[in-house]
Amino acid sequence: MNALLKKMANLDRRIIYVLISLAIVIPLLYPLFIEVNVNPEAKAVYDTIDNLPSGSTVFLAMDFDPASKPELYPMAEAVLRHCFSRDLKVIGMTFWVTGVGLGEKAFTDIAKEYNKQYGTDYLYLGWKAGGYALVIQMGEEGISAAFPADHYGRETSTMPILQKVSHLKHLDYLVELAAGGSIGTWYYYGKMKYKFKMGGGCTGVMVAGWYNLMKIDWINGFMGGLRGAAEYEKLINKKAKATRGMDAQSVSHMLIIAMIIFGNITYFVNRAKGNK
Amino acid sequence: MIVAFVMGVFFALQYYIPHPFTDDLLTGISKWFIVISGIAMGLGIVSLFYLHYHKIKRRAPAWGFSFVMFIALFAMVGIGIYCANAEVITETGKQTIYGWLYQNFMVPLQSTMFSILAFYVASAAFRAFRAKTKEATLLLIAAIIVMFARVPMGEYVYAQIPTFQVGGVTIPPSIGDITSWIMKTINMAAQGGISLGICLGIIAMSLKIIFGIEKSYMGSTK
Repeated sequence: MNALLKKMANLDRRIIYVLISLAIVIPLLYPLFIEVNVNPEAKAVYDTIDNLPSGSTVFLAMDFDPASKPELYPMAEAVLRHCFSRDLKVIGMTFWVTGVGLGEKAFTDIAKEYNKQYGTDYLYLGWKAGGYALVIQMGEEGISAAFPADHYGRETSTMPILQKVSHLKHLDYLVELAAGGSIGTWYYYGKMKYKFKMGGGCTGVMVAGWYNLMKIDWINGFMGGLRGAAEYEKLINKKAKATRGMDAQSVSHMLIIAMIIFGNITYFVNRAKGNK
Repeated sequence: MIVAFVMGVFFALQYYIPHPFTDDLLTGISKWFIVISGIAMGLGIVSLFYLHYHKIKRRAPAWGFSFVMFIALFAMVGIGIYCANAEVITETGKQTIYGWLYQNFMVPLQSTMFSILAFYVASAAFRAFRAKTKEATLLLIAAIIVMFARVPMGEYVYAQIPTFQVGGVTIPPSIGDITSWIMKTINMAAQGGISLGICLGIIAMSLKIIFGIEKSYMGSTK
C-alpha cells in the first residue's frame, strides 16, 4: 500500500500529458454544447457596440500573435461580425509584428461574409514600428499621418473611411485585444488625452488584472480569455470557435482540479504514514 | 546621460503643460521615436545574426537550430521582399506566398509552443499545488473555485445543487456570485497593491535614470 501511495504521488508526467491530451481532444471531437453564461464584463462591450449609431467607427487593436490566437482571435472575429452586422466602420491595426497576418485574415474573412468594401467600411493598417509614438501621432497629426500607407501599401489619406474619422478623438469606440501590456499604451497616450471610449479582451491569465482596469475606468468592459470570446459569440448569436473550445476547456479544468485534489490526498496520506 | 536627463524632464513636464507648443514638441519627438524603433529592429536582427552565427561557428549544443533560424529568416524576408505580390491558390481562395507561409508555418508553430504550457501547468498543478500552509490552502481553495466556476461544466454541475431561501438570501449562493466576489474583492485588493508597488518602482527607476544614478542601460556595471 505504501509503495502504491508513493508511486501515485510521483505519477509519471507522461500519464498526466496523455490525460490532458484526451481531455482536450475528445470534447473537440464530440462537443457537449454546455451553455455559457454571459458575464456583465463582456455584456458591457457588446452593449456599447450595439448602441452605437449606424456609420460609427470602431477601432480594433489586435495586439497579439499566434501564441494567443485560440483565445483572442475568436474575439476579433466576433467583434468584427457584430460591427459589420450593425453597419459600423472598423479600423484595425496591431502593435505586434508577428500578429499582423492574423489581423489581415480576420478582416478579410469577416468582411467577405458581410460583403463589406475595403477603404469605405473597413481599413486594416497593419503594423508599424513605434509603439506609443504611433498613438501620439494618430492623435495629434491623424491616422493617415501615422500610417500614410495601409497594410497593403495603399495610400490612406484618400480613403473614404478616414474622411470622417481622421484622428483618434473622432473614434466612437476602441476595442483592445491584448496578449500583453499594450492596454497601457492605448490608455496613457490615447484615451486619457483624446477621450474615446475603450473596451477590450485579454487572455485568461490577464483576467485577474483587468478587473482592476474596469474598476478604475480604463475600460468599460472586457472579454476574459476563451470564455469571454464564447460569451461574445453567444451575445451575437453566432457560436463559433470559442464556443467549441469551451467544452475542451471545461473538461481540462475539471481534470486539473481532480489532479490537484488527488495530489493533495496522496500528499497528506503519505505524510501521515511518514513517507517522503 | 544628458540626453536621458533632458528628455526625461521634458516628457514629465510636458504632461502637466497642455499647450500647443508642448503638444507639437511631443509629436515631433514621437517621430524620432518611430525612427529609433525602426533602427532598433535592424539592430535586433544584427544581434540575432551575430548570436546564431557564433553558435554555428563554435558548434555549440543545438547549433542545428541556429541553422534552421537562418533558413527561416532568409526565406521569410526574401519572399516578403522579392515575391510580395506572388499568389498561391488555396482552398479559401488566393493568398500571397508570404501570407501562406505565415498562416501555415508561423501560426501553427507559435500556437504549438504556447499550447505546450497546458501540459506543464497540469503536471505542475499535480506536483506542486499542495496545501502545506494556511496561505497555500487559501490559495488552493480560491483557485479551485475560480477554475470550477469559469467553465460552463462547473456552472452546470453547481446548478444541480438544490437551493433554499433563508431570510431572503439564497443558500448556497450562485457559483457566479462566489467567483465574482473572489475576483472583484479579494483579487482586486491584491492587484491594486501590486499595481501600486509596480508604479512606485517605475517612478523610482525613472528618477534614477533621469538623474544618472542608474547607468546599466548604457552598459555600466556599477
